[in-house]
Amino acid sequence: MELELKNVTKSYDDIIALNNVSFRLVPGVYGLLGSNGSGKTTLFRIISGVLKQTTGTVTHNREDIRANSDAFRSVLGFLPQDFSYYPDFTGMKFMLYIAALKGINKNLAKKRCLELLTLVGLEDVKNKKIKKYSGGMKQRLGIAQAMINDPEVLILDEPTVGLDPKERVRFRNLISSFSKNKIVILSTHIVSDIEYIADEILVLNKGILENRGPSSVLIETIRGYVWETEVENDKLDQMLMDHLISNQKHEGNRTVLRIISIEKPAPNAKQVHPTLEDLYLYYFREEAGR
Amino acid sequence: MKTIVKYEMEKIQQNKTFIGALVISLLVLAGILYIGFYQAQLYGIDRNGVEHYHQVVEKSTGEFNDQKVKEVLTNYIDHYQSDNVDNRSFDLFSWEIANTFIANGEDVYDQMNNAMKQGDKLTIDQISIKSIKEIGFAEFLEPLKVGSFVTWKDLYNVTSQIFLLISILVILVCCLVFSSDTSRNMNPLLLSTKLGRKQLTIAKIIAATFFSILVFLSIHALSLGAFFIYNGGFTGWDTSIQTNVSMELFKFPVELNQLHVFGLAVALQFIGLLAIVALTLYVSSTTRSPFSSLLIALGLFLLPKALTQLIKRGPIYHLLNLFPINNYPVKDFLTLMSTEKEFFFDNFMQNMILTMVVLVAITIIFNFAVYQRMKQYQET
Ligand SMILES: Nc1ncnc2c1ncn2[C@@H]1O[C@H](COP(=O)(O)OP(=O)(O)OP(=O)(O)O)[C@@H](O)[C@H]1O
Ligand SMILES: [Mg+2]
Repeated sequence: MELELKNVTKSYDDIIALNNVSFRLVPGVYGLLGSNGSGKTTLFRIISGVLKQTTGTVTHNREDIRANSDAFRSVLGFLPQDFSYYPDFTGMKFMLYIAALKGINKNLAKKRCLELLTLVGLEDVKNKKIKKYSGGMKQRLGIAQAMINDPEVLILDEPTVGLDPKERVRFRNLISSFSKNKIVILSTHIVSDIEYIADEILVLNKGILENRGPSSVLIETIRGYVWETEVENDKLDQMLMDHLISNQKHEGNRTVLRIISIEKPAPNAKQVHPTLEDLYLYYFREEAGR
Repeated sequence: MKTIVKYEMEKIQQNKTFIGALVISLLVLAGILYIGFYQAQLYGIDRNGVEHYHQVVEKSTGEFNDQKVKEVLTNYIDHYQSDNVDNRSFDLFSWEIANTFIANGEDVYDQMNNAMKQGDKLTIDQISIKSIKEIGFAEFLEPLKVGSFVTWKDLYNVTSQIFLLISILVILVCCLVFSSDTSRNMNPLLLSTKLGRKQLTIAKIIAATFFSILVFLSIHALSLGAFFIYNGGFTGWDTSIQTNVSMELFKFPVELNQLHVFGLAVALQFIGLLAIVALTLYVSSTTRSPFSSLLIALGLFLLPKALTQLIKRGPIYHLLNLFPINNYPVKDFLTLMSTEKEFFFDNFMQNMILTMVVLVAITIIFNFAVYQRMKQYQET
């Protein structure tokens, strides 16, 4: 099983949201990393067939997903980025509604929906109206609905927004156990969400696929660019202006800075191990104010 | 499929707009029925009017001929001159007949009043009564029948008014069906599911249509119930529409009784309603917000009426008369469709069938357009 994008470009009136994106995915978990407006949602909408690319093709098992949209949609699970639920539906009813739209027979649907609601920790509130749900509960409901049809291709647009740490852990476990023989793509800004579960990371920057690979490999690309140094507080402002800072920690009248820089930023700076977060900052340094 | 339709019905019912509209509609309906049947002219000055009306109707029901007219008028002037002015009930049945058949309607009452002042009585022979032929009533193989007609005219008025009410309520419900999901940003989710494009669209069309039919039938049932009480049953149903002199359709060329006319009116409304549903659903599928879809759908519903203010003859005018808003009042469709000047053919039934066929075609075309649109829907 494979999902392949070839030279996909999408332009809105005056903006090019995706610029000649090509990649091929085989079963596994993929993290799509990109800053606000980098084209993640646009990419996901194109893959799920609700937005037409300007040029290029998307194929699933070598069949164009647009030519075979019925077949592709039956193996697809999708959590879009923002939408509002039907406030007077209960969580269970919403799940059953989506199950019906996915063509799952009634008896099976009941069992499957209950199972998933339990997996995302919503079994206690399944009969409560969605308008009484918290943001994180709605998010979990969204994740659950995407998985009802046991999709071969699961696309989650910022699934971890609003989840507390405990739920994040639960989410990671859910995805890990689910992903066998499946293609799972999820986008996020929160690096730690994908650091552990994603087999590969795709870096999307201003509509261009800048890099892809396992996080350890990507991190290697900035080895030697991450530094730590201690500065006096009166010199702090100057340092903050001059460098890309990934962290700062105050200790009395001195501050420990974590700096991403190709050259040694200060005489007393020491090289340290880069993390995925450093990598993110490195790629998206313009948004970070540099 | 049945399951999806069920959920779509639920979505409609849970919508706040719909709940509000339903409450308001029921109030308006109560108003229409109250004014139409209870505050009706029939009650006249005193509440005995209805009772007296039914007595007169019972006496007068039967074959419609010059002899019958004379009988009615004889009783009428007798009654007028027998009681003292203060407690005589106003007899709307005979009053309408008198208006139609007495050469100088106004004068009779003066003459009767003068005669009474002098302790005298005006007799029927002193009045000149027009003959049925003179007025030009339509003639068929079977003679015309006369019977309760004032109440039926009220029923026709109410029936016409509730069409507007039903239409507006239905437009309100149907304009939400697609646009509310669009405005919720639900389309990416719904339309990326297996059945979310074809079956869901069909389910939405079925749910909206079914709902509208339900609204249509319940409101008409309530109205008929109220009429039943008002009219004391369905008496008068077999009265010829030509002898309903309040409607002034003496020359109406088709042999129809009042029940036929009611049936045709409801059938025409029903098919018109289906077309309205289809058109509104199409509008709903093309707009991003429920509010703009409501405005556009209402605008399209009313547009043919506005255009007939500008265009008053010719083929375009004829075309405009096909739309429900231009032919929903019972008297209007009877008159419009019986002449070539206003419609396409010179035959009422042909015009009626043409209208229905066109409305059914509109229904099919727009429902199909909705289906095609949602099948291929893309975000922008
Ligand atoms: N419907 C639209 N019309 C015009 N421009 C759009 C539209 N949708 C998105 N864009 C633009 O396309 C670019 C990519 O947007 P997209 O929503 O795909 O980004 P994203 O990576 O999902 O961002 P975020 O992290 O904020 O969700 C942005 O510049 C955005 O302004
Ligand atoms: Mg996005």
